[in-house]
Amino acid sequence: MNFNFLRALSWEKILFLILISVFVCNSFFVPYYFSLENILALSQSYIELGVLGFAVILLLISGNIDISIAGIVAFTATIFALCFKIGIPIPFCVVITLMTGVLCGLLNALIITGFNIPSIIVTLATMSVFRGLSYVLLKDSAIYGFPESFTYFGTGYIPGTYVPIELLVFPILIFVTWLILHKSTLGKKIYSIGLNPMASYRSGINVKQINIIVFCWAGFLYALAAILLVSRIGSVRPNIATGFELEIIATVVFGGTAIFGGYGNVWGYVLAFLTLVTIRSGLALLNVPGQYMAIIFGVVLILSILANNIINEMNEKKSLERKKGTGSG
Amino acid sequence: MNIFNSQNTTSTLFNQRVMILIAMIIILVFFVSLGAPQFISERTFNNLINNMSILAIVSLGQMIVMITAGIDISVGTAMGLVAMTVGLVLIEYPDLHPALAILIGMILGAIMGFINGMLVVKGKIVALIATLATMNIFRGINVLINNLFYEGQYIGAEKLSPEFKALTKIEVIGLPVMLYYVLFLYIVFYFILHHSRFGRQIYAVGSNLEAAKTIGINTNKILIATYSLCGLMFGIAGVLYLSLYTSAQTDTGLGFEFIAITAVIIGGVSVFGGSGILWAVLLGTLFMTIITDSLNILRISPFWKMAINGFMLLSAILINHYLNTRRRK
Repeated sequence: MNFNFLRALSWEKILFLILISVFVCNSFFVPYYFSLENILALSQSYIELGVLGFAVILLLISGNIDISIAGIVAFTATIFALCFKIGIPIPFCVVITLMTGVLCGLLNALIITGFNIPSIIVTLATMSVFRGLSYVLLKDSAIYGFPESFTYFGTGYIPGTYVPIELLVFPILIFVTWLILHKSTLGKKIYSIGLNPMASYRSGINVKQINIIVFCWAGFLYALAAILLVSRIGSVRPNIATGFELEIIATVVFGGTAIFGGYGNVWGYVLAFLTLVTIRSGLALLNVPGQYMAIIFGVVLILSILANNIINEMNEKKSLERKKGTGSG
Repeated sequence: MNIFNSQNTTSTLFNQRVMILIAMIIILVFFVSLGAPQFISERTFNNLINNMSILAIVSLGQMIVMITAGIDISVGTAMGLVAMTVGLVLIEYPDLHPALAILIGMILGAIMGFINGMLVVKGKIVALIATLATMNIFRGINVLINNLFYEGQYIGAEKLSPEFKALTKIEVIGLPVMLYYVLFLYIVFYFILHHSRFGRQIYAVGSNLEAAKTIGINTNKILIATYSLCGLMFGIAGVLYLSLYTSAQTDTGLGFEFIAITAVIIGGVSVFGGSGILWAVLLGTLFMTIITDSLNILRISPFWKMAINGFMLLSAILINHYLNTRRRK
């Protein structure tokens, strides 16, 4: 009975309740919050971050952790800006940037799988490599002056509505990630190597190949996020996207994805993302300085891992009790 | 691996790695002084020792955490928070005895380290993720207290008493006093690590956590103690930083953790835990400090600093990994 109740009270349902209550609080206490155009306009600022999450969720489920996220975003944004500066047409810049992202992911993956070193350690090092390269390439200068046809993607709205153009990326990525994770054999393999890489290897899954795919896809999404970010803010500096890795890992873990891999789903992430965006935009309207946001994200990260651990422990206890019950009876 | 032979591997490797590092440092100094003859002077030497000391003290704490197969990436920002807090206390009570200031820093640091340890051990959060969260929380608190108590201004030299500044500026027998602090701490840690039960237990926990538990070591206590000790070290480093550079800002210590981690890994500490040579870590910090200091002297753009550091960290990890796999074969 108790067990059924716990199972019915899944993390996604809890998240949904949190989201609703945060939204209601915002609407009551934050002036000018409750209007559709406002909410949609606010959402624009966080879309790049949301795009990164679709990479991080796959990485975490496959048992990897990537700390170099913000580093790669900065590096690919730098490459994009430099390509633009030397006069390459924007569409080619985009292609080159996406390819750079994939190569960055590939580099991470090759070091991790080739030398068999944990992804945490490798990406900790490549993070400062990528960020450092952006500093080397850009020094303390900023590159700006992108054509309006390009910045329109990041700042414009679909004609006649209040829907930001950038927002269209979101449902597409939800669908693609849902397909990969929940409807394809690749997804099953990703869960499997996250749960137990050795067992997966013995049952014939090419673990290295899956890791490489996941990291390359992540690199692609980082580059995409970088392009969207540049398109929205219209300039590139080497310190772009600072602190993104904490924010997005915190969001994904808040969405119920296990930090050790093997568990998690898209809907949990989407709900967690919306919840945090609602909290943030509310606080932004209340004039809370952005630097305090780091405290909130740090606390959210710690609390959600703790909550996950507690729920897992409770579930394990219950299932053990159930097993004992059937065994003796 | 046998838990109890960690001491033997340490002493056999001791000479080899220390010798290689000394050779590397001599070669590095030779090439730097070729490019800039003024490098060999008393002033650069004193500067070098002072810069190295802060890094060496932080690395000491980082080292024992990494021997237990953990990692603490909050050390940089935590050091900055200690410097800021002690700075604010000194502004409020300018006549505070310097020894009391160090005591406050130690207590603060130990508390922060203890929190890290509790999150890792009791909260069962991966060390890197837990300290990523606390790193951002510490940074946010740094901004918060700075805004609350000092209206967001940085703490400068004119606010600190001469006695407090003298803490790190006097010379003893012609050498900067910082060198004596560092040597004192390293000798204390030498006895802790190599001549005490606690030291053996640290290595045992790092080599094989389960085995250590089985033979009756209270692994939780050991782990929390190492994180608290690490906190003690960055607490001391924070106060000395404030006294040495006579400034504390909200971004003090940002990125310092990477230099510390690199120095520790150059010092032969495996990212998988269980090994680590104290004197090699000291030489590793010297090596890293010579590199960062020589960038200024050789007039290389400071924007190379981060990239060089990243490459150093990456190659140190790979070389260590190569040496370890070769030894196992």
